[in-house]
Amino acid sequence: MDALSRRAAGRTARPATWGARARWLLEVYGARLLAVAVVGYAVYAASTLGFTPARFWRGLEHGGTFLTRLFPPDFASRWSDIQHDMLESLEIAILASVFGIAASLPLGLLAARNLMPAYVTWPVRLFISVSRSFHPVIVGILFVKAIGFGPLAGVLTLAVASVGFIGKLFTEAIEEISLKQVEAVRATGASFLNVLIFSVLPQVTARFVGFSMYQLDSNLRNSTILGIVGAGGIGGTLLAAFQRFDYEIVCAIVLVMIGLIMMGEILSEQIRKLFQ
Amino acid sequence: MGGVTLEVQDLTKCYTADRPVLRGVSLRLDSEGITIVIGPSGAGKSTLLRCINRLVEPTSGRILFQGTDLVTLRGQMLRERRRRIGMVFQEFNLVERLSVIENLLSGRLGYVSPWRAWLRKFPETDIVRAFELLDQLGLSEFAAKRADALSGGQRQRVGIGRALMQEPELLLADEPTSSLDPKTSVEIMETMASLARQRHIPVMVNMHDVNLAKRFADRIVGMTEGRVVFDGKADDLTTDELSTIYGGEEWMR
Repeated sequence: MDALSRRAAGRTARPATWGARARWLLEVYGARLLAVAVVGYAVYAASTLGFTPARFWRGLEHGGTFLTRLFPPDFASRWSDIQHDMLESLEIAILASVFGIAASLPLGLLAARNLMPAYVTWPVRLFISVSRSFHPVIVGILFVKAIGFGPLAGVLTLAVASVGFIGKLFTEAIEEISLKQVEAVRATGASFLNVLIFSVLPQVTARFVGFSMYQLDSNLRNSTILGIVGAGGIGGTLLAAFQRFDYEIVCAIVLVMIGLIMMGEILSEQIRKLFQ
Repeated sequence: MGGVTLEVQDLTKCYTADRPVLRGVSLRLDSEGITIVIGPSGAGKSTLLRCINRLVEPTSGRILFQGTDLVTLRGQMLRERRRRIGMVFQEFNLVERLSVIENLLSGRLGYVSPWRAWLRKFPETDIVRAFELLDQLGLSEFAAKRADALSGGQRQRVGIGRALMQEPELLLADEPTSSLDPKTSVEIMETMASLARQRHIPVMVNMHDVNLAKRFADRIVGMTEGRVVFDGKADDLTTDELSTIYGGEEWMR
């Protein structure tokens, strides 16, 4: 608490009971106590992990050797694999985005507490937050085990991740709309669907498009890692190149990834602008 | 014309169990004329208005609109009555990202299917009427503008237009001038009064401004603490009556 707030708090009567006094002290000095605790824990954690300057310098030397072995990038020797798997990653990302967004629209609406009763929002919110609780790699392993290797597992994995994120963002966007506009349209005798179409959607469309484009970006990024767990895409080729110490090929793959992701960003930026 | 459009009987509303906002309000509205409800903030004016078209659920009492008790209606039946009651709001409540003409046509949403609403395929007669109304409101050149690009007075005229697009048989206005400057307030009241008279529909308006109320009201209803304490012509509204409604007299000097 800053000096001014402490002074303001001092104007209230001294708390009578011990419990109230402790709470008062916590309120006034709580932020300082918290800062000391965080710094103390960081020092402790570094010591248990062997996080020392000497270890860090040794790591840097190793990294230097690795960097020199990355160049020049070798596009040629595995080009057909790279090309095929990169396109597969792209397809996984796009399909997962389409399915994820399509599922998130109704789910986001059902989870909005300002439009739906608690017995609807509660289970839907639970479903959305479960979809968000695991890292895509873990969900990917689950799907690979459940339905087998290949891009289908990748699509499902990223669709789940998409629901987890944009489902939540859609919900929040709907919960932030102006209910006055909704009330006015409701007052015309419009049905629930017409109220949605004419007062809720206009308020959230631009944000929905923005969120969807961010999710497409994010799916594109994540689709490059799913191959590592066998869920399709470029990740598998990348892992294989690492394991064979073909660092020139690793470099080529990483460069192609950067190109793809940048293209995705430019494209999604353009689409976002269109809906502003 | 003649007869009773609206009859409110012994209406009560409690948002929390022990603090009633409306304490047994009874009121009859004839099928024409402007009734202005005045009273201090918190008197229950806004709640009364919102109970009439059931934007707020009354706790008890009856609201007879053209002989049907609205309080018992649900779903489709309620919407079919509600679409005959137009409403104008203090903060206009236009859908800001939609165009002016779309806002006007949203007054017809009680009559079109979601599919047509989605595609903006309103019946041709509705569209023609919307543009006519826009001309009458002096907003022809703004048809394609987004509602949030308009000034306060213009927005409120769109709000009136939206309500009239419903072809209402009763018009409710919840402090329609409270967000506007004095000159625009008079213009808005004039617009609303003349359009309602043309269409022979009764209007019920909530208002803070006593002088503005006296100027436009055929009838004034005074409310205090959830009760009607005055009901009569503007000329009968004496200093005594005003001090009953608002409490004290210093503010009148």
